[in-house]
Amino acid sequence: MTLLRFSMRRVGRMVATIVILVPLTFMLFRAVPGDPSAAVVGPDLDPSIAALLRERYGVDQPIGVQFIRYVANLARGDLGISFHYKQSVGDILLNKLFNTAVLAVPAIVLALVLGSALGAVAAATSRRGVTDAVLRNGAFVGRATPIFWTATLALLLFSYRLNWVPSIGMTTPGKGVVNAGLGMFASPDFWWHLALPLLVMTLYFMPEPLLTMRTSMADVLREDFIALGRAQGLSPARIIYRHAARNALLPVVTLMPALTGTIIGGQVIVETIFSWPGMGRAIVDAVNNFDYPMMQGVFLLTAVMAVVVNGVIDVLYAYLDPRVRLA
Amino acid sequence: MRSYERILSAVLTIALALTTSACTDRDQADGESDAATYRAVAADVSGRTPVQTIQVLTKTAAEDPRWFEQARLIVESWQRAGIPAELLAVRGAEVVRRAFTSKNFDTSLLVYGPMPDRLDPDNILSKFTSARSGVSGSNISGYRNAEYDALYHAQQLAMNEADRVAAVKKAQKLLYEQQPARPFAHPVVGGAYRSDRWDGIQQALGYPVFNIWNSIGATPKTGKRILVVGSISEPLSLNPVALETPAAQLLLSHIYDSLVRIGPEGEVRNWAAKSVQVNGTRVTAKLRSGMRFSDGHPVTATDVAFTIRYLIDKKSPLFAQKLTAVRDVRATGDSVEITLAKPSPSFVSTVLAQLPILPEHVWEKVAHPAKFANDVPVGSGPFVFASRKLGAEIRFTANKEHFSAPKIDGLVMIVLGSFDAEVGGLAQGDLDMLGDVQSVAQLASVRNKSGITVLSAESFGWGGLHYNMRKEPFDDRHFRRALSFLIPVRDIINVVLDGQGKPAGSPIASSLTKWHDPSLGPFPYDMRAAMKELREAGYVFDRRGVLYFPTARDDKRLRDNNVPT
Repeated sequence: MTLLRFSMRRVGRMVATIVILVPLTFMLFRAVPGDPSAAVVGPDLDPSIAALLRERYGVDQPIGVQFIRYVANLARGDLGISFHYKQSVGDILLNKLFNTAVLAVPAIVLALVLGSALGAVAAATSRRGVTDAVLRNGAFVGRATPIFWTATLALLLFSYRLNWVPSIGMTTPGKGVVNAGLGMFASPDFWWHLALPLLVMTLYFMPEPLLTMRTSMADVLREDFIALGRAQGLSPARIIYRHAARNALLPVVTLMPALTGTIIGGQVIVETIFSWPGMGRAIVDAVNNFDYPMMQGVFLLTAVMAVVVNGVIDVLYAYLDPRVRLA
Repeated sequence: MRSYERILSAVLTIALALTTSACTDRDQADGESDAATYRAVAADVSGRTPVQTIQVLTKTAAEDPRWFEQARLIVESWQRAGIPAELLAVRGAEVVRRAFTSKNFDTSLLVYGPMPDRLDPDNILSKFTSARSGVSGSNISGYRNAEYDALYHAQQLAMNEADRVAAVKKAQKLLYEQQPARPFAHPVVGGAYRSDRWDGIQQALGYPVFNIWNSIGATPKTGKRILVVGSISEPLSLNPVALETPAAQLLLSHIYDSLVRIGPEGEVRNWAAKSVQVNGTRVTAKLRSGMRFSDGHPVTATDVAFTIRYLIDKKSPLFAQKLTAVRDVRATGDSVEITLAKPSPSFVSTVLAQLPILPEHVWEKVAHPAKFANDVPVGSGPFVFASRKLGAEIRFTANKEHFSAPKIDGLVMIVLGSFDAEVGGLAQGDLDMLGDVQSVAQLASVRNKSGITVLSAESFGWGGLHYNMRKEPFDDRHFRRALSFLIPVRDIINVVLDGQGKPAGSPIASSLTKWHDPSLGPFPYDMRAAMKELREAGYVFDRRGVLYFPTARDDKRLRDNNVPT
């Protein structure tokens, strides 16, 4: 099978998955007991308003009618109006997605690059002990530590105690920094705010690639072609980083889709602790407020991203290892 | 609740449970022997029905450890007295469904926050009137008492304040005696600000630190001329017509003027109106001259009249109900004349004080306000909306042309992920002021920090337990009083509120000095009195300690509900 045909088939499967996801994201939240009016009615708002709100939100309609409306709007690229923000869900999510991406993408890239490099070092030094022991145990400790704990402690130490970095948000209020769009990257204030959450996220993602790389590197180093390289008199560094590392990277690439869950979970917590205005917090808010259009939007977007990432990784893998295409 | 808090709250629940078991309340230590001593015990209980297990409806520990812990303390106290009880911990949305929209519960914990509406007793008292006792009404207890209804109407219609105060006090006394609900405590709430940077901050009733008076009054001590306020509750929308929750009111009061405002001591102050006259059913307000909206249009009496009609027509969730009493509204020159269906002494303080003056030239073009983002609000208030980033911040510039112009150049509200982050941000200096009202126990870490001042006040909101009087045995006054005597209020205040609360007898807090009846005092914890109530009504325990209803022969139960549904 050619790579192109493989890719086409993969895209077809992605589309099919998304088609199944749409009714799922729609039904999932309506299955939770309660409705959007329950999020606002209470001691401070008369319960007799509930009926008016249900009508206003359109949740008084039969569920089939609601679904057809939802799909019809979706087909036009309209995710609906958020019950609470009274704004287009698409606009809100675009903004939040950007904020999340500036934190999550560098964290993932750094974690993969540093994790693989350190994993390779660990594998290469495993006979000598100390470096490997430190890296391996460090990774285990890192993996076993809940992120809300590390994030809170990091905030306490570097922000509240040492006062090295700010504790809140993406920019300093009142400094007149443009905080939307790409102009943000030119501002040192933004990088200063990014430093700590980025560090925490990177350390959180890193153990997986590190440990995977270490194991797969150790396997590769036992292969015959490595022994051959040694016999040919290649320098150890050349063997490890040129020949072994390339082959050992494959399992790390496959790790990416499996990391998606970790990334979303970590993002929710880090954004909450560092008051970062991104998707993670939008998920929590939407769920708590029974904001159906927001919930559907957030989860559909997340699901689509997960599907796309998986698809791209599959294609990438097929490119790196032609045996996959034939299977 | 945010997920981070949810995790923390699980930890907190365990800690709370440990603390609770560690401190044994003296009342309750005596309780067990008292219960045995004062119980009415019958050797023969044939023909009697046992009292079914009473459920206490509360939020789950994960969602709100404080609610859960209070409910747990109550259940344990009742059980100790021999009254069968259990916890019913459900999600917040389910509490709302059961207590508010279907009335399917035995007893339910609820907390009434210090909303500006509650500065006037009408709001609190209205929640016990029979008119609101329906399945989706706000009278949670289902209390339907003719004498109480008469007192409620008397305070609504009273022509002078002394008569009104007398009626309000009598109504409180009835609630105290008949116990449709048991108020536990009025918590001490507070806020904090950087007193090393700002002068002119005064404590106010209800919202001790962040409120319109302090935003106007804040005077810079340093070069910093922009006040940075933190908040965990993001105002979801700046559209006052579509808004469903009162949470954004505080912020909207910066953008929009109202005819009058509630002052820092709870008094009504003229604001956009230079005078307001109430004459029977007629309310006449004369508008201040020279006011302008942020787009340059002058503020006129026509705008005020338009606002009232518009909020009614468009069924504004927050205002339409309050405005149902309005029969007619007319603008002539600089004055607005509102005609009400019947006299209402609280109309000015509870309705006009919160009613935003909307510009007619903007809103007349908005046919569906529920779908209108109002992302650039045009108002005439002391602050002008500048920009907003959802989930991050809202910026305002000072309206220097305003008749009560702020001394600062601008205000920024930062949206935070947790209250801990808010307190941390204040301590670290990223924030100038806390925008949220929380129990002062939460402010312990900044209390003695130099440069920070904590202001606190007794909340005029209340937390307590509603009995569902539509059901047996809660329809009986003796039984409700017995349950009320067994609420371990001291434990609740010590453990759940960290000692920061005042035991309550009336739902109207003692900080509302004009309305609160001081002769009532807090409702006590009293095992002996509880057992006496049960005995008087004819309830008995058998030898194993099971509680039974009275038989037809010894039934002395008291039904207070005497208004037919």
